[in-house]
Amino acid sequence: MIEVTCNDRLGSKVRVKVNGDDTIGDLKKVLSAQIGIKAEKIRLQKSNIIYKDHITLDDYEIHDGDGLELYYN
Amino acid sequence: MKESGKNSEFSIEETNKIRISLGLEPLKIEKKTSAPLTTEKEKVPNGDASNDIKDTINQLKKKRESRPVGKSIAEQLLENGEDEEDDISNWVSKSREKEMKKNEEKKKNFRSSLNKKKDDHYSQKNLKGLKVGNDLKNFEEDSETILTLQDTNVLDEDSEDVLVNINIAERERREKQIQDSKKQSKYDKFDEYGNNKYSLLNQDNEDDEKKKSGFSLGDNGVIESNESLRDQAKKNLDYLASYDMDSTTSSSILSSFYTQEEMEQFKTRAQNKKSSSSSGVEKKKKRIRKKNTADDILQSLDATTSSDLGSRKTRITEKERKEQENNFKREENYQKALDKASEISKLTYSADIFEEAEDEDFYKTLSTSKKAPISNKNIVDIVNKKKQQQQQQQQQEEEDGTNNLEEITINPTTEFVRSLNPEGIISNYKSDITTSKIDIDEEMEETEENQQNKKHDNNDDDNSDSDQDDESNSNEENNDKYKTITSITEEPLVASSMAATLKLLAQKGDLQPQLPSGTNTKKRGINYDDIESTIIEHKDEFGRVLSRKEAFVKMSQIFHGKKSGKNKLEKRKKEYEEELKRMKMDSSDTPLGMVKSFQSFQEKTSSPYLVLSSSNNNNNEANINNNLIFLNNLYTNNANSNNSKSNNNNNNNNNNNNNKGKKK
Repeated sequence: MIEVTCNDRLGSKVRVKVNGDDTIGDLKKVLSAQIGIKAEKIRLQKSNIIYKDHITLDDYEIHDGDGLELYYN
Repeated sequence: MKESGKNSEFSIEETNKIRISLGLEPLKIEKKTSAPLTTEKEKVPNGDASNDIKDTINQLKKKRESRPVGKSIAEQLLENGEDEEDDISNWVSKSREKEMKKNEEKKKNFRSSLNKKKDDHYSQKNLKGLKVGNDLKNFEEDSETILTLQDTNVLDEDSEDVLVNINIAERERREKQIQDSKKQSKYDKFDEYGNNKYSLLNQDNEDDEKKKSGFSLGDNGVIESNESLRDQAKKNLDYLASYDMDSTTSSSILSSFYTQEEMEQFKTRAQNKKSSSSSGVEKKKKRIRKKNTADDILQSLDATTSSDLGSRKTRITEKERKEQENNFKREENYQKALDKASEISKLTYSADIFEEAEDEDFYKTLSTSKKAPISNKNIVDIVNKKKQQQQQQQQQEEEDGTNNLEEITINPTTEFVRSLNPEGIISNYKSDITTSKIDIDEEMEETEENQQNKKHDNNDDDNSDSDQDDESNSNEENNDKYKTITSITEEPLVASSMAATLKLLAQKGDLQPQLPSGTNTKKRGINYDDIESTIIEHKDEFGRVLSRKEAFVKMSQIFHGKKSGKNKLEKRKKEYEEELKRMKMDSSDTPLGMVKSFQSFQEKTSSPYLVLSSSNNNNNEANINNNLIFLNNLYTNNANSNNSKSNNNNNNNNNNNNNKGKKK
């Protein structure tokens, strides 16, 4: 179980608990449930690397406590 | 569920609920077992290492034990010498003894070496077997040459001592170079069975040759050669001297003529066969068919057997005969050529006659003309006649044709225009031709005609009217009309004003009519003949009217099949676009349409103001994102989220212009 922080620099800093083998898309779903924004509208980045939905967190080497950037499409 | 502003963090159970609702697996909880990496490094294989350690330990121990504990080396050394009494004096005596011994040994060696030197007296005998590198022939007789030992490689084990004289060696080398530079190939083309050594492949292999030069010293250092020069000289002399005139040898005196025997060489195989087969005794056999036998040839060749006894006077050598023949031939040819030339020349000379003959007619006419009297009258009559004819023609023309004595200029454009259908849509042609209908009342018609004519031909001379009137039937009425028209219009006083002069000139017709729009129009159609009715408009690909220059360019491009380059075309496109933009420009607004956009913004936000600010934070990207979000919310129809977001975002920094630029 990994805890990932999503910060959108607008005042919302969300900590999401996910599994390591979850995909980014799953993460987005959980995130959207927490924030209240549709999953399709969310974009997760790490300094101009846009994370794609079909790749797992493990493949992106996202570990516990990592922070991601949250943007809206 | 923690919430601080927008910072929310769900607990595990809540997240699990969400996950299940989404259809995802619940969270996997792992016990954190921190596995330190350090334990791995400590796993050292104990077996081998320990043995080594033990060995070293033991060795060290031994060393310690071997050394007397607590004593330095100096002390130990001293222990050995404790038996003796006085150190210094002992040492001195000892050293003296040693010195004595050394001296004795030296002396012994010296003596022995001296003895050896006597035995090793170097004499000429020692030179036995030494090799000399230079050829014997290079050495001069009765002169001393100094030889030195030739250089050898250090690593050559089997090298023998070779003595060499430097000068001779140099000379030899030089000669060799020259020989090589001449590139004389030792390959003998004609030697079929020759040495393979001199084949083409082996030409450049010189290894075999190097070893051959030189000689070796014999006993007592004396040279032993197989043949001395003197012996060789002797031999040569003997050989030369042994030449005996009387002795019969195979060689005979060379004669300029073949002997009979030598002639036999030239016999063919067939001849030989025949001769040998038919008669074994006779070697030569006359062939019936062949004319020139060997004998004949011989006879002709041999001076002694020739019949020609050789008196000078009558002798005409063949050469001379040939010369005579040649001369004769030459003369013949010359004559032939001469004849030819004369014939040709005759032809050419006679050409004049021919010419004259051809031009008989000419000459005849000449003569006749010469005979005929040249009377001025005739010519004058002819000219007069012609004049009359012309005048008649003119008169005819005048009767038939136009009313005007003016110059009739025929323009191709006017003709073309005239040929056009006047009732068509395109033409600008105004018909000046009056259609005259002949009615019963001729007078009325004529007056009407006249009136019309006069009206139209306002600028004509008065004379034309007078002529016309002369031809018409009724003069009175015409005269009246004539009078009215011929009344001179008042000329404006030029002195009064500029306008007056202009008026006058306009009346006179000297002023050219000005276009109403003025010089601003480059882009009106082209007026090829300065006539209003013939304006042709050329259009470009965008539909704009081309100026004269541009039209020419376009037409010439089509004619030559060439287009403008890429840059030119792009330029034109840009110009066109700019023109369109310019047209779109609103006079009441900025070129970018600020007012319009602001108005739309106001509508949507229903706020009368616009917050302008730019932040120098590092969060410029974030700002941009903010703005993007804002705009997104503006233009999309997400009502719920919009309200909440827009309230939020309005308070944030906004740079509207930036947005507009990016969004569009």
